[in-house]
Amino acid sequence: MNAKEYNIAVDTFADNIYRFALKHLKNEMTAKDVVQETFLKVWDKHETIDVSKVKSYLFTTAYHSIIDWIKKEKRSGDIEKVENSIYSNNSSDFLSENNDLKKILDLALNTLPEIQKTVVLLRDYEAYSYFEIAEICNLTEAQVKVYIFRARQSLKNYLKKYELIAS
Amino acid sequence: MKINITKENYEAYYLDFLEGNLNDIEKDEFSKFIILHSELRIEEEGLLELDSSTNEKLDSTFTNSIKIFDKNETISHTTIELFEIAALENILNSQKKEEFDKFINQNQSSKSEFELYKKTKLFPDLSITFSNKKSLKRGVIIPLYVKFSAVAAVLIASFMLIPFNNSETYNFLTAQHIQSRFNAKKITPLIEIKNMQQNKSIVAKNEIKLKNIQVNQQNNNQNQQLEIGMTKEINSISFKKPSLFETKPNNYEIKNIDFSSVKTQNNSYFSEDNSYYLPIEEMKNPVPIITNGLKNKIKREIDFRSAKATDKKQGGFYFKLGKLEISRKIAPKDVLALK
Repeated sequence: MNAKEYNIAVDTFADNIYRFALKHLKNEMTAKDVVQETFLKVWDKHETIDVSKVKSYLFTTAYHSIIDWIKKEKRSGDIEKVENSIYSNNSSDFLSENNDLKKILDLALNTLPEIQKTVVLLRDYEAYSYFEIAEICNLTEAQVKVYIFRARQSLKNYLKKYELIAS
Repeated sequence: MKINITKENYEAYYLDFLEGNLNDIEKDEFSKFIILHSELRIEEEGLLELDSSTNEKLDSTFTNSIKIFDKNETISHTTIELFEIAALENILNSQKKEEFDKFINQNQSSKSEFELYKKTKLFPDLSITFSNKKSLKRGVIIPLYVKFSAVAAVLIASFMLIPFNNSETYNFLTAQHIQSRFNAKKITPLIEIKNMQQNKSIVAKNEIKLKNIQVNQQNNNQNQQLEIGMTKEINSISFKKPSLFETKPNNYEIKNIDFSSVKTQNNSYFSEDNSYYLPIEEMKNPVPIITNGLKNKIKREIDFRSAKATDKKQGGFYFKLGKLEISRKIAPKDVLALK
């Protein structure tokens, strides 16, 4: 992959990587750092990367960076504080004001374990196949299917809970 | 090999555990992990006790959630949820999809459940973008010969923009200029001529001018005054049409100022054989390496030639790029001295 192809990859995938990171990290600055880090790592190895596989390479690198960030933040306790402050508000006023499906799904997504969140985001946002997701996350295809199935169930149950409360 | 079971990957080990794919060492590690992370056991419905002597069965919901979806399985109330997710994932073949649609339409509760599953599909918010893509990009390596050619092109363009001081000489030579230069005794200013004789000044083309001047140079009238003006474009000459002289239609007389030196220089400038004229072919290319390099790279005709003005010959430059041609001529030094 030459510099020109790399720059095209920046234009094509930077937004996707950023949205993916932001969904996981819930912090714009950290998500931007992940994007920078990802493209820096890809550039370091650009001569050995086939341009047709750059998207997978980017997401794999981004995924590992995200996991590293989450581990680091969990150790410091920051991410738990964020989760508690945003997602523990279950007052009826909060629910009635936030009956927007997208917002509820965002809340539901954040209750998922990271691996389930990752696979379902890669599936829905980027339309990756199970095989491609497995390669990115270093899983088997069977594991990916299971995680997606579980993620869908969790999201559905979360929505059901809000529908019951709203009705 | 040491096995590292973490909160991020324990579910995969759990799956293998349930399917009986863990060896003794892995099973032992998994047991230790679950004991240390008992909160996971609480969250996970129907989590098996790791005492292998128990015969406790998993909750079917949980089992379903970790089963590998088998598209050949029969659609029933116990398996419908798996098929709902499979339908959402678009991995059912046409036959199974038909069966699924039929089952769903016959069971309202399953239909409602499927509608809820449809809402779990996530869509990216395209308004969220990474704003500083420029910071991620890398410079494109430009081959040296392209850089060299770009520098050459800039130099050529700059050269074309250099105001040749000669252009100033192409001002309209007034009678006053000629008087101060050659100490003429008798000069009629153009304006006066115009007013008095109601002349009409005309700028004519080169070939016509030369012809007319040659004709008028044969006029032996001693009272004739020569006024020659040159516009900013070389080879264009303006002169007056005197009303005091008889003129033929479309033929103009020039008022001659009888200064031999001026006349001589003018003759040499407007000589019939145009000996001052320098053809482009006689100009030389000062940068053949650059033009040839560019020509080979961009596969287009490129030519650049220049020549310095001499006493008797024109100077100037000529540039060609594909179909674009630009040239500029500089008058011979003898003509420039008229100023």
